[in-house]
Amino acid sequence: MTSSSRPFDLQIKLLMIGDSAVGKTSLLLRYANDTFSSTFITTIGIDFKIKTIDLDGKRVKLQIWDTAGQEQFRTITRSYFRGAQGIVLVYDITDRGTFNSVRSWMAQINDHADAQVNRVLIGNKADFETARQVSTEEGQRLADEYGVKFFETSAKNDVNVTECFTTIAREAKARIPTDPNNNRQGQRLNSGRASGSKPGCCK
Amino acid sequence: MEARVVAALDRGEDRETVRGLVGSGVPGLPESVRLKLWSVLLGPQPPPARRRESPPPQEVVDSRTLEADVRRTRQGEELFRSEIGRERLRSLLVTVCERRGVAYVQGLNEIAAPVAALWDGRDPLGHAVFSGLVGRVWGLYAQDSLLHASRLYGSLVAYHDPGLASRLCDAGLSPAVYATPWLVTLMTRPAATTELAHRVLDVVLASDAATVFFLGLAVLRSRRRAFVDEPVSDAPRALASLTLDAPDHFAAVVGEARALARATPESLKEALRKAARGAGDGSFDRLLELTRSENTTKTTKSSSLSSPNSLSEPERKFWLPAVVVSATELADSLGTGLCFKVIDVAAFSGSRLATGRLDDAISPPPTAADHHPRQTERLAAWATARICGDATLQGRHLLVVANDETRFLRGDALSEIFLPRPLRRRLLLPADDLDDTLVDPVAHQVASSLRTTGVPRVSTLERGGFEKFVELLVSKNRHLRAKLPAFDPKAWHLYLKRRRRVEYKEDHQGPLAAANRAWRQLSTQLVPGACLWADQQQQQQQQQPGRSDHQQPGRALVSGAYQQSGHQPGRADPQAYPFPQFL
Repeated sequence: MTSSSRPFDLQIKLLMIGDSAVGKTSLLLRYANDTFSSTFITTIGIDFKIKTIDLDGKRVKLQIWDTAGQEQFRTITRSYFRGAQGIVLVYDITDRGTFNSVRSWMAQINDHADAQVNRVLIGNKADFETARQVSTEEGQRLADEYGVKFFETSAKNDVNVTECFTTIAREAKARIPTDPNNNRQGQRLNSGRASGSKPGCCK
Repeated sequence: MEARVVAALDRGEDRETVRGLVGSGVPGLPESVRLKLWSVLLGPQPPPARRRESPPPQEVVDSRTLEADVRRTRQGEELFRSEIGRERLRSLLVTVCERRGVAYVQGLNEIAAPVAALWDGRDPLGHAVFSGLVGRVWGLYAQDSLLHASRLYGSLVAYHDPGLASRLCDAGLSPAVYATPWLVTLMTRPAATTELAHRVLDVVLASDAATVFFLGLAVLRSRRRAFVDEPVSDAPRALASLTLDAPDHFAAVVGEARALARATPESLKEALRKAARGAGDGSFDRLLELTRSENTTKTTKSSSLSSPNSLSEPERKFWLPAVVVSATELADSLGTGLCFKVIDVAAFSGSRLATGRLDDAISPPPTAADHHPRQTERLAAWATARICGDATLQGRHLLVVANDETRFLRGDALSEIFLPRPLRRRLLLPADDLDDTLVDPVAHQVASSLRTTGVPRVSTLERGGFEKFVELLVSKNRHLRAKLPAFDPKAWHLYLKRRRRVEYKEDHQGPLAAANRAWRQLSTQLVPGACLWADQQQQQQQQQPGRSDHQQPGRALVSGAYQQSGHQPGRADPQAYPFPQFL
């Protein structure tokens, strides 16, 4: 990950949420490390990866937080909602229950994330067509209802993974003021450190 | 050692004996007796408290998540890739959930794996041991327990290694990121192989509940260079690859964990023990909660991008709770235990003059502790300059003591003192909300400031702890009491009690002056000794010009800084003393 030590123009914090075992970690590992393995370990609590990309002529450092889907970890994961500039909400097209939870996740975003946060809805495991329980149209309809972009992805076959992360990063970037004096990095220059918003240790 | 453990198990020795034998681990223990060993170490299991009303079956098991987790548990090992191993995991997990009447929670799969590897799939001992292990971590899944435990974890790391704590903070790795998976899996998650996970459990079950924290801290420190010397952006990767990968590494980690545990205040260990089982005290958490809710309101009002997380890095480090030491521990430490060097930043004011000072404590010059609008900042600056410049204090356990007068201030004044600068005036803490808070705000800020500059092993005395400490010296220490025939501890006790109830005003004259005089006589005999300062009457005498120091017995016991100053306590001119210019 030598690229991560190169300087960057902008840092964007993304958050991945959704029910457990819908493939959040798989998507993230496919995107950040370009690998897929069906033997990932369970995410317990919260984890994150960093990927630096070139986006419309700027070097953007993506800090992507991966969360555990289960309710028991909600008190931990909830504190990461605030400060996230983009949220990737994932469900599993082969499990209707995870799709039905999307509304409650959207409500969580409303309650705990910043008001203008960018969101994207992902139906994962699109490679597993025979077990599909949620149609593409249904996913698209729900996304339209919330006014967010929608993708069906396959972490396994690397379908649409880069596209969905690039989309959410671009949307967040468009919203972030380009004037360096307006964002936090600019303020930090005098402390000799270029770093964007980070989750606090001690919030 | 292994043979002795096996023999002890055969003889049916009790839990404590076996714990003593296991100590730092029994690597060569035959696998066939390990389940038995764990069941002895876990002790007799009370039947799990079943939920009253039976939840619907799908909630009990949440088969989808459970099945997904069975298929992603220790997949590096042959056993768990096979249907035999998976069936054992499934059986353990389903049984424990059904017996407890609870839904499956993620993380249990990790502690099921070491049991499954030793289990034949039928023996009821397997279920019993796993149920015992689940009982150890179950409380952590309760509301806010993990958050509380994570904060304590952060405080522990910062206590022993502020440099590492600050580096992790810079990298965005909050304690929750590592604390959560380590605590809920009893440290088996970082074990690279099931065999090492077995050895981790041997140690964790044979030691007290706080060991899980110390093992984690020791693992972090064993790879310290990966965090401190490498670029900050590599820290998440370093954390992800933090494993117990070899028996040698594990042995070193256990040794380090034991050393760290010995060098940790008992008060913190007690808090860690509770937190490891999921019981939080929540007082500091509640305070942070108040701050946060205030912050959230702010966020929605203004642009969310400029203030998603409006604390800057130094401020966030500041907000890691400082370690709080109880008055009892300080009193005990005079004889045994950790030897604390006390930094006494109490203001030179009436109530504290009456309570006294430790005569070998480090105290600020009166101007630093004066009632000045920026009092706390000045104190913090003084303490930093004083401690960092003193080589004799390196490696010592430093205990910051302040007085409890903030409780008598009005709510707005309290928030003024308590909060880092950007947060000031945004938060009005009602004084009532702090009454059961253990943390003394002034002491906390001074301790945090020291920690931010990299001074390790800094703790604070519990709120109002100094009076309690003095009281303990008198009432509990028979040796001291014997030396003081004329002194009536009961009267002193009543006096202290009354002091704590009354509003802060100068009212302790009359009958109490006798108790004070008795205390003054006692003070020289204490080791290191709590010396009573002059009472208010004497303070007034000091203010009269023309009286020299040697006429005032109380005065000679004051710290050197004060003697040099020649100023009146509490009345000094803030401009008269040099202060660090960076304020």
